Amino acid sequence: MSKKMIVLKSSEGVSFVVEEAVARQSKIISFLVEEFPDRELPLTNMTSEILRKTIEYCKKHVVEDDGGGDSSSSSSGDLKEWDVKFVAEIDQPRLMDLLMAANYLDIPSLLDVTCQKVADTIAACNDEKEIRATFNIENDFTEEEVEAIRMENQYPI
Amino acid sequence: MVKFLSLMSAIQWKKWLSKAMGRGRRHKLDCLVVAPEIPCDLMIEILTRLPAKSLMRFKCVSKTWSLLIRSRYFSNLYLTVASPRRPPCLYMSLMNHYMCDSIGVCQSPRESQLLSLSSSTSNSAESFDLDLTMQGMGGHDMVVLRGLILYIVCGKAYGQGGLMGLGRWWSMVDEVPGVAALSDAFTQ
Repeated sequence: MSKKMIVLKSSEGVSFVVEEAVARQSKIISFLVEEFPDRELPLTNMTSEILRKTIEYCKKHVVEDDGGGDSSSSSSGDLKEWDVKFVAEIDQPRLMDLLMAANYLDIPSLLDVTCQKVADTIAACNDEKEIRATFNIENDFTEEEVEAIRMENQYPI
Repeated sequence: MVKFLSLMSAIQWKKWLSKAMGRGRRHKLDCLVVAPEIPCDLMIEILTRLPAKSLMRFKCVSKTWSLLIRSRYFSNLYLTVASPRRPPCLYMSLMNHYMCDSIGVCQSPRESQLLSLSSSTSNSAESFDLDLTMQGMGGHDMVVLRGLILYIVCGKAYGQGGLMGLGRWWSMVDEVPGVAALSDAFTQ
């Protein structure tokens, strides 16, 4: 029995053919497939690279979900390890793109993994300057205000 | 007159809007270089995954972060959604304060001196003594502060070793239904 395939189109116009079960991990695609069957779905705000990464994630997770069965405990452990490796390989700007893609496509597990990775990156920063540089945040505090906030943390609680 | 005023405000509004939009566009262009602008809901998602210590340290990143971290919405989210399995804890500390306002909140933490600090586990937090009528107490206040119950007792205390000095006990209990226990602060 041949599986139903879905065509996803990136912002560059590159088409990706994926199995329906893989694509359906995205709630938005799941909805779109039901609404517009047999049509290719244009994802104009996603580059091919990010779309490829997202599909890679979905493929891995759909396989594990199907084949899991009785050995679910070990496979879910492996899957977690795979997730950690998956996000570890991505650099900061692409990670943000992937996070946005997960948010846009509504893939809760991918959103969870990417958010955790960004949180870990923030927690690993030594000071606020490093965070501002990493996330390109403008410092709108004056020196005095920063000092006042630092004072709050002097509380020995 | 009313018409004139509304016209004026419309012009002002338009000016402000174009200014704001111009700034937004420039900001976005900057952001494209390093990272796309993160929407607020995603930022909240990310920040709830941070340990509390990091949140306190990184309040000074920007005003948006500071406002977000301090907001009641975020505190509630952090306490309920982000760490649901945290056991209720009771923290106590005896502190010497020199400058405090009328509700007993210290204005200059640097001038306070930590005398002792203790925290309890979930089990003992539920069985703390509720009796707070102690000898030598000057008075007490209770302030409910963002998921914490802050109980302040002040006065002179006499411990085992004699005079402990003028101090305040700050007892903090996570706001968990059924656990509103406050401690007998002065263990003899």
